[in-house]
Parts: sequence; C-alpha cells; structure tokens
Amino acid sequence: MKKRDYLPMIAILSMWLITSMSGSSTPDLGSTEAFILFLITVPLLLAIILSFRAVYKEHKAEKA
Amino acid sequence: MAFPPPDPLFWERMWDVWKGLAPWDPLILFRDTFPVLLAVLCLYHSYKTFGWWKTTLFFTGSFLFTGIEENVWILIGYFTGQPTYWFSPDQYYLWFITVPISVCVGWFFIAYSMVYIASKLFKNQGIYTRAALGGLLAMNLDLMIDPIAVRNLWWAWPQAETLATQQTTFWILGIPFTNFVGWFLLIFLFAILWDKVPPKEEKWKRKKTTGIFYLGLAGMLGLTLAILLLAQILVILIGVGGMNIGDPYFPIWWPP
Repeated sequence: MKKRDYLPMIAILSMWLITSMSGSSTPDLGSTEAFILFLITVPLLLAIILSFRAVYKEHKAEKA
Repeated sequence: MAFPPPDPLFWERMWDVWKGLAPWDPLILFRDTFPVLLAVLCLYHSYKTFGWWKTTLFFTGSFLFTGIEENVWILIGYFTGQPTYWFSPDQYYLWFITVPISVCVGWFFIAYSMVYIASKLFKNQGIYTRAALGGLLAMNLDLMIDPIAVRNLWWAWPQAETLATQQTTFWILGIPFTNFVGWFLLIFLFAILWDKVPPKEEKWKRKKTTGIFYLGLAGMLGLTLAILLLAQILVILIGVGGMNIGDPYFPIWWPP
C-alpha cells in the first residue's frame, strides 16, 4: 500500500469541490437550491470519507 | 436570452477535434484541462496498481464506451430533428466528435474512482453490489453537476424549451431522468465487464481477452441505449411526462 492509493478519492473530491465552487457563482441558482444540491451529495461525501478511512486502516495494518 | 442552437459551423466541423468556435477564455481552458489533470492522477494510480495493459483497457474502454454512447445519443436527436441534448459549442475547445474531450476523460476518472471507492467500502461483497454502489455514487455526483451545468450553459436539454416538449420526458431536479439512468448503467455495466473479462487473460491470452473486452463494450453500449429508449417509451405509456421531482426549487430550466 502506498500514499498513491488516496489518489482516486482526491480526484473525486476535487471534482466535487470545483463543481460546488461553480455552483456558488451560478446564475439562476439561489442559496436554497445550492444548499439542496449540497445535501444531495452527502452520501457521496460520506463514501469518500469512509474510503479514505478504509485505505488509512489498510496502511496501518500493513505497517503493524 | 434564449439558448443558442448549435452553430451550423459546429456540424460542418463535426469531425474536427479543434472546432475553433469558442472565444479565448481562461475558464474554458480550465474546464477543458482540469478533468484531464484528474484523469492523469487516476491513470498513474491505475498503472502502478494494475499495469499498462489493464490501464489501457480501462481508459480506452471508458473513454470510447461513454464517448460513443453520448455521441450516438446526441446524433440521434440531431438527425431525427428532435434534439436530445447538446454541448455548447462556445464552452469547450477540444472535442471528440460532438462531445467535449473533458467530458470523456471525466467519465474515465469518475468511473475509475467510483469503482475503486466501492471496492474499498464493500471489500467483501460481490461484483454486482460493488458495481451498483459505484453506479449510484456516480449518479449522486451528477445530481449536483447537471443542474449547475445547464444553468451555466455548459450543455442543454432542448426538451426544456417549450411546455409541449417538456411533456415528452420525466424530470428530476429539472433534468431528464434518462440522464441519471444512463449514468448509473454506464458505470454499473462497465464495472462488471472490467471485473469479469481482464482476469481471464491467463486462459484466453491477451489478444483474445482484449477483443472480447471491446466486444463486450459494444454489447453494453447497445444494451444501455436500448434501456434508455425503453425508459423513454415507458414515460409516455405511464403518463408521467412533464412531471418534475424537485419543484419548486428546481424548475425545468431553460434560459429566460
């Protein structure tokens, strides 16, 4: 296991971040709509966090 | 402002990678190159983890599989005179026929990352569960991307233009539901093929395995398009055309 195992999660998180930033400056998209879009992607964010954790645990187990 | 129909020059230059229709804008350059950068990260990870052959299969497979599927879907709309959707000619520089290259490489890194994340979360589950989770996560990401994209005129769903054409589809957050079905199916089917075929290399040899992989892709492309067409027909039969899950915050959107 290497640090590069985090790269797929970093890629998706970057995509999510850039899209969110675009969303915050999007015409015809109010703050309520933006907040709903954020809420919709909570499962995805949760999955990303959990997979970061899973990879971290694998690294730790390998070192031990 | 009404959304401009695709520039006639766009169709004249359909096969050009560089269509030259977009004015100079650093944001367009960023939109074209950022997904490429993220794809490079995933290519590096895939190369180090699976080697060049499997990486090439995944990259060409996802790029071509989704790129061709999107092109077919757009061109069906263009040639039948009932537009399905299109990407704005003045919002991208680099194209794969009628689809921006950034979108095709986006499919690669999203498919790769989602399948990887699903494999980490459901390590002890079978491929169908992992593929389904990967497809659902990708669909989840697009639930945010699409409403933002159409409002920025990155791409458009022309059915949204008039009340009559709005009745031809079922909408989620103001986006045709077939879009989300397509996202799920493409990642789900691709993940299954990726899991089943390349490991047969020892038995079938590399050349045969590569051929079967691409044949499988063609079959899945046909299956995806058939399911999407069937879903569209079902909308009309069931009578849910024009319904939109997402009101009042996400109306079926078309530029005023």
